[in-house]
Amino acid sequence: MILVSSYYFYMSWNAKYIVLILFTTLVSYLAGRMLERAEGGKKEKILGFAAVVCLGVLFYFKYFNFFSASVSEMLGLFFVPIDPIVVNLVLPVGISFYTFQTVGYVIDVYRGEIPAERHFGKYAAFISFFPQLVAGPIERTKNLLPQIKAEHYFDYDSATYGLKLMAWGYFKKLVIADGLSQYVCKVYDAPRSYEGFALVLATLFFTLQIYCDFSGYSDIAIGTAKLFGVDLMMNFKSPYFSQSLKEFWGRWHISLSSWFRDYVYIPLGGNRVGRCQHYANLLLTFLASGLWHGANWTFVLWGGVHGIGLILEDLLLGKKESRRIWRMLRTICVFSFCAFAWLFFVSHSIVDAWYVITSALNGIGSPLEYLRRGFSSIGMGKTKLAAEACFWAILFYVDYRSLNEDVIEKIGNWGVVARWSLYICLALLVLFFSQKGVATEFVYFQF
Amino acid sequence: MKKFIAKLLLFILLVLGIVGIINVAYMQMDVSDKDDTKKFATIPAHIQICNFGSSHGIYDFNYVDFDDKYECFNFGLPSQRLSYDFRLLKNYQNHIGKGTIVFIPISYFSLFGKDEIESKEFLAKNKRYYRILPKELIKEYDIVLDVGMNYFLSLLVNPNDVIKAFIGQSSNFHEERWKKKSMEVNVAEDAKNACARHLKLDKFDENGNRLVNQEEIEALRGMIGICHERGAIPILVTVPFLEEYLMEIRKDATFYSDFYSLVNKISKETGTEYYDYAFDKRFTTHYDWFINSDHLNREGAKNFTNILLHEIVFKQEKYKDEVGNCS
Repeated sequence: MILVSSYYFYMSWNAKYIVLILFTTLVSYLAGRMLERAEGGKKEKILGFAAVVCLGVLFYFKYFNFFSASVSEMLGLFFVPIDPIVVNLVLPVGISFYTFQTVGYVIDVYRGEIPAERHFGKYAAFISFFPQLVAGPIERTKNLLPQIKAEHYFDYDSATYGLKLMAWGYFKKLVIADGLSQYVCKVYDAPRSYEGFALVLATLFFTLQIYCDFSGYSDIAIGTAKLFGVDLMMNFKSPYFSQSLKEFWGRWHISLSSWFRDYVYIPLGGNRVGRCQHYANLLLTFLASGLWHGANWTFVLWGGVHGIGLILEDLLLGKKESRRIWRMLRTICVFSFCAFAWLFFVSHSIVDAWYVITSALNGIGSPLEYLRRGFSSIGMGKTKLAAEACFWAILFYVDYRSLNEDVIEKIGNWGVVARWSLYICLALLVLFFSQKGVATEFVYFQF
Repeated sequence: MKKFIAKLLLFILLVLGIVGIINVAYMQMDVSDKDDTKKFATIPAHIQICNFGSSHGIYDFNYVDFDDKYECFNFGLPSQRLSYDFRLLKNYQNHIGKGTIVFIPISYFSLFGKDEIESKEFLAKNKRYYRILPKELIKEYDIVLDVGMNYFLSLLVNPNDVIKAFIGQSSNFHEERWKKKSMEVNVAEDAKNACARHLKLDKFDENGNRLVNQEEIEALRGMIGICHERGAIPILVTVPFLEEYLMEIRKDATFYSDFYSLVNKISKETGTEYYDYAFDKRFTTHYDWFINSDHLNREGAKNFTNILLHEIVFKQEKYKDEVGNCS
């Protein structure tokens, strides 16, 4: 049933691309079965074959044009002009997510950490489980597959928790992320039409937008899975309250960063090698993570900036501070660094990103005018700013409390009137303040 | 499971109930009337003078000097094309009768180009008709939108407008705009933008000939037909513009000849009078009377309506006797 509904869900976007999921699923399933029986060097060949085929599909659909254009540009620099080969393809939704899930499964079987799944239908349901199919979390076999295989009974507590989490996810996505996206799109679609604080505002807004958009999706996905009695892994844990970049990556898109840690960084040697090699491993992992996000040098640069940031942090900063003021300062620094890095992520080109960096402080000589012009040029009035600021305050308050406790569970212990009032208020906020007439597609669907 | 479903249903009912109450309060407190549809609630039973049209209809007709003598009504809505003028007239035809003067503004974007449903703004502007037209007259009808627009409007508008309504800061959008003067904007720049917006839907065949929009032409013929059936008097009119706008339009070398030959042809074929005030020197440089390059302000609209009625209607015996005797 889960498999049928998951495939139906995917086909409602584009029916023909179901073939791709089926193909990748079949290849990884057979590879798993063969790996279990194989011995010695044959295992590596099977693993290599499965990885090349699965990642090859991803490469063809997502990176071929980028690779072709980059090669053409590079040859052009050496006076060898050739036209790039372009294939007209629609990027299949969620391809990066399910490909990584299949590759993770094959590696786990190869390492002997899990047995190969014998039932193809259950394995296919694990790969295509609809709540997390198009934008994660990228699940681990050990966590999700046993749950898919288990008998499910309705669990009241799990279902109500799931609904509450979904409501919070909708609030983040429809109210905050969509509310900010109009300003971000306006500025980053034509950055040269803006200067000064407008560029800073758009970048800060994107910092919040991407978080609310993606963590909102993750909450909705995790909540939906809970309605079916399935526990997906946590994907975000108050990342903007991190006191170091290392901590940030332990809290941001946890399923992807832990995937890269387990299947790229550690196999490269991780930190159990010399310092230079360690830093090279770190940088390589983050460049790959950047490339995973999109076929554009801006994403690679975004990954690179984070990689360099982590290296510098390791070189320059000491242990965690115990004094509150320093902890706060470190949190602000990490937030600012992340915001700076996001500008590469959101820019359409490196040239645009460079323009934003070099023009963001124009006019700062008159601070008040600098701020006023920033808000007026992006068209954000006082009422809108006040409403948005209230929503950001709610977001940061809940995130802050989530550092040490499960806020949803805590609210569940309140009296019935207070609890229901809060739920109704949240539903009303989502209904009334969800943005009308703006693009509402999730940012991470494109990956 | 039963407990879960029962609680969920109770929650949904509570939320819907509160939304309903907020919606009623919003409908009463909001005075912005951004889509300008509230006027249809007070449409006179027997209209004597009325006009249709887009924003050129809303802003350029001001019956303030005639309201005490005649029953007047402005059917104009922003960006409304003839196909919806026709639908409105069809729906409200019982409000017009023998002798009713019906001004049908013909703008430069009225007769050519793509169908409006092809433009990306279509869905946004189409929503307003759910409040004033039956479903069979609405293009691309959607029942969910119908329910939303009629019973949950506050959920479909910009949340800022809801806040403004509740804190008493909303003001009538068109009234506010109507007070402005063109000196407050860069008229040349505005003319350029308006012209680009108005001609962007134009299409051409392989020989470079401008394609006529048959749906709009048929709608115009349909309006004239309804007027004739009911004994009303349709009058085609092109409203005044500032010279900057006219000059921008002129940059399209064949536009004026294409437009005027088509309007004159329709006028002749249907026996309907056509009056062109676009180049009227009393207006083309009178910046005080315009909001921007192509819309009259309150004062300008008052003067234009006076001129229109005195020069066309009251001056001619055949009309003068009719107006005021309509049934």
